[in-house]
Amino acid sequence: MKIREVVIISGKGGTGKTTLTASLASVGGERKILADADVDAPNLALLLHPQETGRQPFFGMPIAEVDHERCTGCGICEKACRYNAIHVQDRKAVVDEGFCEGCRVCLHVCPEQCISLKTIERGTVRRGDTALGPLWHARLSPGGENTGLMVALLRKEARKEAEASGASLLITDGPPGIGCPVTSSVTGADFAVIVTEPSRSALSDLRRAAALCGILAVPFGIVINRWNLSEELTETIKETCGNEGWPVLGTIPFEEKIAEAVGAGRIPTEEMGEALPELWHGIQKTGRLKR
Amino acid sequence: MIRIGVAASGKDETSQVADRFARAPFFIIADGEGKVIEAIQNDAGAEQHGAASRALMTLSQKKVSVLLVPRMGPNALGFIGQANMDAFCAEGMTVREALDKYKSSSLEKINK
Repeated sequence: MKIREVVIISGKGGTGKTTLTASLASVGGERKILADADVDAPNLALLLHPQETGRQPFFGMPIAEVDHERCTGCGICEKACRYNAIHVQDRKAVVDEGFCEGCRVCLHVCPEQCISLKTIERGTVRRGDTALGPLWHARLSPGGENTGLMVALLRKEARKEAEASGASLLITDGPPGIGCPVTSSVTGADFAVIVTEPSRSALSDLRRAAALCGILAVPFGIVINRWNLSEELTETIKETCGNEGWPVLGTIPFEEKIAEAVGAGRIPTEEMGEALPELWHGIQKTGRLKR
Repeated sequence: MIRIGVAASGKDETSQVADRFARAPFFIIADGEGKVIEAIQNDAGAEQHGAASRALMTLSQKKVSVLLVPRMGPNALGFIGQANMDAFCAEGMTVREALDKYKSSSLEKINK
């Protein structure tokens, strides 16, 4: 069976991607795999409470390492480094691992050829069982950041498990913004849900997220979360979507009980009421997820 | 003579076109007639960010000017413009099919 992959993105952060990801996962009856691609702030686990079944180290980009036996402390590498990540201390070059971007300039300029690259552990990729299905997520080491590589790895693992277990649906909680990790989470997905809210910045970022989906040829639809916080701006968003030909999949109201459920670590399935199954229906229809 | 680069999930022409461009496992290089010259492993997949620029650098060193890909991200599209490359959508087919369809001009051009 072909696996359908839905990714939830937003452009602007804080519009309710994770809450909506968990809530949508709780209404569909099909067997599913979940992935949290927002590795900078991985919070899907806060609602899904996974029982961890495995973890593996994630090795990021290699960074510079100096052989102090051979380093003469000449300082050529320090002058060449654009990231200010290597400094001579006590006549030896020392790499600041938090700043090194692994660009290899120091390797090329070092007259002693005593700098090499080493791979360091940047975090762990984890798998856990939840009531809604297996969850693939990750934790970064301090100073680490989410990357296109990390997202690609999580999606690959989730997809592999979906194929092996016969799950028909993969739901990915995407990162905010439209940068590298977002591109990496959207590319090749079957459908993108863009979560927006009635604010000027969310509308502006909605445009950017929609443009990204357009470039990657991933069909998408819009959810307006907390629509009742500004009925006027919700109208503006709906007008924009109408003018651009972007489908509005549904709207979710702001209600204190939803926020309270999330605050208590619960998925607000009941609190969202009828809006939620209607929204899932809209996603299935617009995203052609049913056959 | 143009050279074609196909983002591929495997090493030979029976493998599927990869589901992503910059982190595709392999690139298969063919001549303008669609005859496969070589398959290269794509080491850009190990890049944290901006895998596309690394992948395109490798491909341009191989004198590739036509790319057959699933789709491309915004950065990749910008780079191929500068490198005078063209990209065509070859999603959900084998490398052989992609090369044949390119030859019969039935693939959609992705860059403007």
